[in-house]
Amino acid sequence: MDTLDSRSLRYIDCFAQKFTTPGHVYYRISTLAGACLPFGEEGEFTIDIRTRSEKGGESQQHDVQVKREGNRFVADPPNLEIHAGDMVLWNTPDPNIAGYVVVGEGAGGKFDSSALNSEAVFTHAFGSPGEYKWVDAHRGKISGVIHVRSLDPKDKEQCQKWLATLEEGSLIVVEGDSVRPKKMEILTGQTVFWAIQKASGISITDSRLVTGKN
Amino acid sequence: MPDIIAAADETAATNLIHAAETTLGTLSKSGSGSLGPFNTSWNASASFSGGMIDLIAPNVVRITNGQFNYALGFSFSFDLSNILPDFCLPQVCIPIPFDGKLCTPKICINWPTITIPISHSGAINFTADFSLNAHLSGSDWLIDIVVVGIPFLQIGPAAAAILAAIGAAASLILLAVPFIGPFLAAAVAGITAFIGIAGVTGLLGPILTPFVSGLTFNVYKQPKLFQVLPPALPDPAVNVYLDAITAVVASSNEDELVISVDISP
Amino acid sequence: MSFTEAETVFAGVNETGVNDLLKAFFTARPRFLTYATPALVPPASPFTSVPVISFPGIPGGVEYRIRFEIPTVDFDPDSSGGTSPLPVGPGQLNIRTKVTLTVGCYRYVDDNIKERQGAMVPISTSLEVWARGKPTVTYFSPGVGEVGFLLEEVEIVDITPDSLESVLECILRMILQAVLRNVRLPFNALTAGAFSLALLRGPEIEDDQVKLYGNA
Repeated sequence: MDTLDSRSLRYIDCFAQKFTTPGHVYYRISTLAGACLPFGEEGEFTIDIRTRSEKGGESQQHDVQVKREGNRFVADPPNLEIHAGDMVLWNTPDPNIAGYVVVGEGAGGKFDSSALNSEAVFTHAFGSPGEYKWVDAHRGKISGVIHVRSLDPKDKEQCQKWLATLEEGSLIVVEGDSVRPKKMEILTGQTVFWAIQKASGISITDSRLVTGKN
Repeated sequence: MPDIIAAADETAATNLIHAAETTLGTLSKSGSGSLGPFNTSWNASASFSGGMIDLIAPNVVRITNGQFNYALGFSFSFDLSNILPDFCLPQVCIPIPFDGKLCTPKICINWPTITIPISHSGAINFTADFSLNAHLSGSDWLIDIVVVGIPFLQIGPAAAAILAAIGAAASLILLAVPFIGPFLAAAVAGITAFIGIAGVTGLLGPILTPFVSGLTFNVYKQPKLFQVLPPALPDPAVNVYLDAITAVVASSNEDELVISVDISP
Repeated sequence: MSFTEAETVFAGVNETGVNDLLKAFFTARPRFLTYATPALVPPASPFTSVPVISFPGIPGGVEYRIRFEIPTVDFDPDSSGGTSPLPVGPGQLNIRTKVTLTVGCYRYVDDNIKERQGAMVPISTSLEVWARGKPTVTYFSPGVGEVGFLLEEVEIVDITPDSLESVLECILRMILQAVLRNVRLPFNALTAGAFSLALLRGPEIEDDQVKLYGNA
């Protein structure tokens, strides 16, 4: 089984946040243990959110890669200029990063990948078959089950079929205490998206990682 | 003529040798070696049992199809990227309720280095000649049978069994590697092919051969001061000295192990 | 011909080996060679105490001492060079020893030698004793047993009259048999501890050896 926990992101996870309020946002990337430390001058990255004009077009997605230089995390690019309504998605290509957290504040309020708020998205690619019961590790009010089925292709045709399914994602919408759908079945290698429509400080965590929730 | 002659035919000698094999118990060794292209540390234990006993004049005891029982433990590390292809999850895009569409980037999977522990036990038949050696060791008379040369061991079947065990152990370890699913069978086959029978034989030979090189079974051990009768109050024990002991195989109408002893009061 | 013949294990002890065993036995346990009454206890010497021979009118009874030299055996065939008065035949053994008989001689009244009145004077004689017999076996369990000796006849050379010789031979046969009853040779000793021997045949006397046959 692989580790499902939005509180500490790995290379098979993504975190995305929508920014709707124009202004200046600064954020830091750290481990889960360092997420509570106050902001300082070092290690801060910025997002400038500009007003979208009436003819500004559709919202855009901006990707930031999280990397490691020495013993600090860096964002690539470190400074972004976006328009209100755009999404920023963080991901790392480095499988050796054991876990990271994106924490920021500024125009529009605070955001935190380890405690998801409204208009955030968490994604996870499932690599091992099994039944994954997930819960909110902070308040524990919401939960769901994902059944990951193994498909071992016996021939080239089956292999092609499996590879095609990897492009298909699955969506879970969290709105307050409501989770839709609560149960889901996918194949090994597929990606699930948790879209947090409305919530305050939740996580998507394998129940076995949360004491008393097994 | 010696003071005491004790003789055993091949039937009795068989019991004697089998008892000596049991008395030798389990021998243990550890070390490091090569498993194909890999270095590995190993620990091994061995014991001996059974076999058909043939007495051959003037001083040979032949064990035919004796059983060399062994237990082996070792582990090696394997970088899966040596046998698995570069594999990336494609970009996945889905519509999001509050944003239109969100896409994940292409995610390339990192194949880890895995460590495969192996425990395997089995038995190999062996045939060897042993020569009789009666000697004084400290204050004890011993009669040992000592292997002549280095017996040939049929390692092939054992190597094949161990390679199968490597495959089974690898399969178990690989099951826990994320995204391995479709590649699992090929990965196991790749690992065993990488090592090969030759690799296992190359590891097994240097491990097992030292157990039989110089192999010695003890068939007689008595103190030079030999107790005839134990103490029985008020009388003390009655002892004699074993002054000289020889052991040979005598051949007449049957072959016998003959132990000759000279004693003195 | 093999040693073990129809059985699987064999133990054979040569008469010289048995004599070494007898010497070891009586050297370790010398009290079995001397039997004495209190007045004739040998000074600083091990012995087995025996009661006096009581007789009406002899105050304190008759004191006596019997002392043997370490016996030796001779197995068939005869190795005595013709000196044995009881030569061994097939399956037989000779036991030879010297016995010293001592009697506490007491005089109550002696008109001739007043110093001898009321004194006990030990007087001794030594006799060469030959015995002929066969080995015995006591079997406790598979592999556990003992070989002993059974005396059938005793001969004391040159005692007259013949009737006195017969009386003494009978007494010494009984006494020597009683002494030898203490001598037990376990199977383990007869194989020098080489292997256990579940006796099937023997003990047999042959070729100057006592032989045992069995299974391990």
